[in-house]
Amino acid sequence: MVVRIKRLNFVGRFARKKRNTELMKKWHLAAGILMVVLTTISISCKKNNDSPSDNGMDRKPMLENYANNYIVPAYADMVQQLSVLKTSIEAFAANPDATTKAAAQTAWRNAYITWQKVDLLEFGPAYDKSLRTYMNIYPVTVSKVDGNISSGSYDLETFGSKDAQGFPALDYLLNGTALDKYTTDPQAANRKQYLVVVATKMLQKVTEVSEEWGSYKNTFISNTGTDAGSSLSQMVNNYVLYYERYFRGGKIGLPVGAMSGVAKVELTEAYYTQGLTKELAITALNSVINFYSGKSYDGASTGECMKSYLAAIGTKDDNGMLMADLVTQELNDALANIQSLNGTLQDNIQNNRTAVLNTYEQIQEVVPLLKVDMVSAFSISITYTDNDGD
Amino acid sequence: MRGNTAEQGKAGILGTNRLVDEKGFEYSQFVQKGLIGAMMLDQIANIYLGADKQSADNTTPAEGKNYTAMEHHWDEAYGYLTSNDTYPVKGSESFLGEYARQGVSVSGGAENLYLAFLKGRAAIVNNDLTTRDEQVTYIRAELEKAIAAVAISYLNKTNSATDDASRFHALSEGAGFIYSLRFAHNAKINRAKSEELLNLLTGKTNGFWDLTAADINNVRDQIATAFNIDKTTVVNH
Repeated sequence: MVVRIKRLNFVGRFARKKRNTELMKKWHLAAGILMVVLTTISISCKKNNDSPSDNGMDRKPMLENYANNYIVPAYADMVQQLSVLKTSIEAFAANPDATTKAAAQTAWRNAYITWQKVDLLEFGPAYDKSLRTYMNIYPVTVSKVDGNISSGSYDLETFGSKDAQGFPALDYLLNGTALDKYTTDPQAANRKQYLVVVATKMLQKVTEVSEEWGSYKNTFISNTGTDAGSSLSQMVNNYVLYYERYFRGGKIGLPVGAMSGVAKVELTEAYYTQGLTKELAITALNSVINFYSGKSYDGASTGECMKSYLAAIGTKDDNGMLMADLVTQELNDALANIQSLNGTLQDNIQNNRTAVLNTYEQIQEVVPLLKVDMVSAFSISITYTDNDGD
Repeated sequence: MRGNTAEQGKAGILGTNRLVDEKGFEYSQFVQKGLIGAMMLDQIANIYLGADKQSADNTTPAEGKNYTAMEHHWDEAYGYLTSNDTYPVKGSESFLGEYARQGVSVSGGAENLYLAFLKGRAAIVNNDLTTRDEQVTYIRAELEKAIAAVAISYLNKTNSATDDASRFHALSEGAGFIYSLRFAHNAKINRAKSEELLNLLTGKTNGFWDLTAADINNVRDQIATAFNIDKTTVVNH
């Protein structure tokens, strides 16, 4: 695995950042010239080309590819995985022993890995339902879960319950709770019930989103503009938001303390199953790469996508490299970087923190490429903000 | 000194600097955003563009001045929006002018809001009160709609918020703007309606902690319908 040495020193990082700024200026200039040229062309072509596609580029095939070959199959798979999870949890609750518990743990693990391929799709129906908040808000607040179990009175729909449900709550209940808590413990009955309620809620929410995509798909594909409400804008905004906040920040940055300077292992994903955390991050990054590159959900085919669209626009960096390819290269570097960490992510955060911080830096390299360069090449705007301006 | 972290039923700090009560309510935001309506919108829409002030003398310049009383009132109204000579160029304003710049993007746009002030002022100079009244109507409607759009936007931001701090911050701001709506001239969301909507957001036992996405969408959709604004509106602010 190649780890870029230059990223290890701060001079390299600053030089890189400076280059990015200079590049941006050049791209803006280039984009300006390009626009003038394209406008001229489009004026001269206007009579025989009145289709909704602008600048000679048609976004519809890209939206079709995403909807048909990734999004719809992804939700179908997620529904399937969560059905298996719910069934195994019900079996465990009905007859709690080591075997049924192990089966539920396996189903949880498989579904959690699948979720890493779905989490980046928080637009359209998933956005409307705030799907993520029912699935994967971590760290789980153990006192809330325990409180809900002992009181038996809770509503998983409320904001106050977001950190007491989903995969993280199940992690605590299946992987961080001993078997006797489900057999001889006075709260055993309530605890079993809570497991089932959480799993049922997850399946219900994903099923709703999956079903809504059935009708939303046509809306998504036909909304080919670049305004804030367009499919491209919503998809790209939430894709970049996912990469920046949930992947970079949630999975690596917050636990390693990239901003705060304080490592907090307890903030890691799948905290009660530490062998899994790194695999979840790798799966998530692979999904980011596959989605960008237009791979189908099963990986068997490739279609029109953000990468091909960016390549068609043709923006390049200083060295004449297509931005579309640069993004892939930097994402692959980040992937290689995570894969090069030996042992669990938690162990690395505690005992090999510099390496994890370097991984974070490599992940960060991609953020301006996506958030500034790709977004402006697409003629859309970032509609989310990191901090409210008040 | 930092206070305790807030949680359900316990006041304290959320995130780095959001001071909330035991219901997650951030009073400073509610007061600030409420004053945008109670003070600025009221002063513009009801007072200085109101019938009383706009019946002032428009024939003789005020002593030692080059404007009439009516012109002066018009300028006062503009001053409550912004201190900039040319709006929507960004200046030092951070209240109504700042939010209206974004909010009116759902309707006539900030440039046209500025032009309405110019046109109305020119009409007063020409003593053309019909044109002036058209601008008054336009400005009142636009400012009211801008506040509604910002309220909707904040409610939508609770959806994309990634933690309790930003979620409750957005809710508190949204609540402030909903409160502000009652101060519009012949308000579409009048006092009673505004109270009703605020109660939907704050009336549960644990306040914001007990809210669901459906609760928020209910309030959002009612505002969107009243103003015929896209319910998914999110503006930058």
